[in-house]
Amino acid sequence: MEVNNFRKHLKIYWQLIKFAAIRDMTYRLNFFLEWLVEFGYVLTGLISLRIIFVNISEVAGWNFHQMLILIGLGTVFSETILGLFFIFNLRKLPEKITRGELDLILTKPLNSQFVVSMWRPYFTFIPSLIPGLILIYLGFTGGGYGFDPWLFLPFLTIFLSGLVIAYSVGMIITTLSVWLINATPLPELAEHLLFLAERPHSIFKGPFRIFFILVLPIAFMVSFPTQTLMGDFIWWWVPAALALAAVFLKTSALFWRLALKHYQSASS
Amino acid sequence: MSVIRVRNLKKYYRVYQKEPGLLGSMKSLLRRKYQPVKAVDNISFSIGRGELVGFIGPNGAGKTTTLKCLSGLLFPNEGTVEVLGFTPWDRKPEFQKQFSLVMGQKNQLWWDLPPIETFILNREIYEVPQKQYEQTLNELVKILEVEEVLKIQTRKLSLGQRMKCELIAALIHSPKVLFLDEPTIGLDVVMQKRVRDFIKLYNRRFKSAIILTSHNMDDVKELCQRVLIIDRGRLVFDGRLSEIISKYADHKIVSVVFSQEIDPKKLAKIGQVKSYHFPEATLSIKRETAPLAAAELLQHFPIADLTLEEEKIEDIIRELFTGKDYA
Repeated sequence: MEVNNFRKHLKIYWQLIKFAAIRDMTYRLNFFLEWLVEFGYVLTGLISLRIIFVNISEVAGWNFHQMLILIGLGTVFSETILGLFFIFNLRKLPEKITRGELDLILTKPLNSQFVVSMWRPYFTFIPSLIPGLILIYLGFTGGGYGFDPWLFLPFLTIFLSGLVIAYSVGMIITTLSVWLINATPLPELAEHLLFLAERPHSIFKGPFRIFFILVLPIAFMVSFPTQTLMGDFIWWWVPAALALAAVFLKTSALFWRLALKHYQSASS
Repeated sequence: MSVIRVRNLKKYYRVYQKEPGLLGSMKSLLRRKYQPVKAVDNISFSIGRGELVGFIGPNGAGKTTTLKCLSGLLFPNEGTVEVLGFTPWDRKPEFQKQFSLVMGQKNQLWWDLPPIETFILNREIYEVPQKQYEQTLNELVKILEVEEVLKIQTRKLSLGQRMKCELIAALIHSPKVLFLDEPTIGLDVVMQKRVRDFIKLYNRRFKSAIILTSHNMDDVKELCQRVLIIDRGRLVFDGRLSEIISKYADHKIVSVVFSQEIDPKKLAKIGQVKSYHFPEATLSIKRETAPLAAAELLQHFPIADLTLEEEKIEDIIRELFTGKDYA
């Protein structure tokens, strides 16, 4: 039953991706502008990084090429999170709640959390991954790092778990808007918190470090996957990432279910 | 057999009150006054298979809130609701596959895509077998005459065409229960009539239980034999539309055509003059004295024609809502 339900949601998601692609490509200019902006953003980031590394040789133990890989993976991470869950979904949730626009989709025989957080993927995010991948490539070639194929699976597990954790944190924070009507800054707050993941986790010291590993585990989103890519891998990251992803996802689902009991819709 | 059972349903809200102006807004940042609102206050009713029931009341009466409780969107404070044997707010997919909610002011069609894409998506969502989907779609498209617009972007359709396509999107899974919230709002009279004819036909063809809310009395008069009247969250009437007249109409309308000009002051002694523009006049007269008043008019005035009619249903309901006398 659960497997069938999962398959049904996958099928619908595929349909939604196609819809998003058709829609995004309808507005051609926006589609190409989006690419341009993304390349510009990465380029300016790269220039800033180069300027910083003219004066220093490393940031919290990360050299220039390691930082390139970290920023590249950070770009892939943030574009994926924004494109799949935030731009047209979680960012719009407070507004949809205020206007009662959730009503019709909440009556559908679908998982309502799936509906509110994944209904409209932002197709343009896929090409936006390219600058991130280029940075990773530049970091690897420039720094002369080798890639151990045996570490690909642990890397993927930690990275995907990090995405699940990030999504869950975003979902939990945005869910508060069910109570705090018109709480438009909530998704922004979630995004700012999650973008801390693009910094090396070693810059956080003492209690902050524990906080960002266990309470808000941003270390599992970009830093640990980057270190794994570069061969600096610690075995317990894999089970810890999986366990944290499961706990955060379940918590977000329970919290959303609780929030729906308090959903007031909007007057017609 | 009832497909919808509502028992002692209560839904209360807390709304915050703000004093006017900037100062009021600043004060409300620190301290807010809340007022409880009884949106739905202890209502009970049942609806059987194939029934088409009008759910009417003034703005803010609790109509939409009730429909939202019945659709599982809102959790009530108290009471029980069973729709097709399910508790709606459990939001079980087995239940959600069997009902549909159409809100005239909200749409589910994808704005930038042709309506056919939304229908295909809904087929997947409601897991409608391909053959059944094609059959239902063809039937609905034919009845609503929308063959030509299926592949045109929704945003390029007229409001009427969009509403027709909204109905198809809501009915593609052949729901057993249908909640229609102001389905004719904003439509021109021709389109209103078409939508009404369709609802009537659909109800007969599929034997669906339908609850219709509308401020347009033509919708209710043409479609519903039974009406539920709700006001300030309370159900004040549940019965046949014709019973409203016998229960609440305490006046009759006398329409007169005079053969000569008369003194309107004399006319006012017979009953309440609603209008007088020679040669026509309309009077509202208490039901029990209406025959007597008619006789008096014929005897003392130069009458060319006289008719005695029941009050219009719209007027009775309007008076009900403004007079608030439900005894």
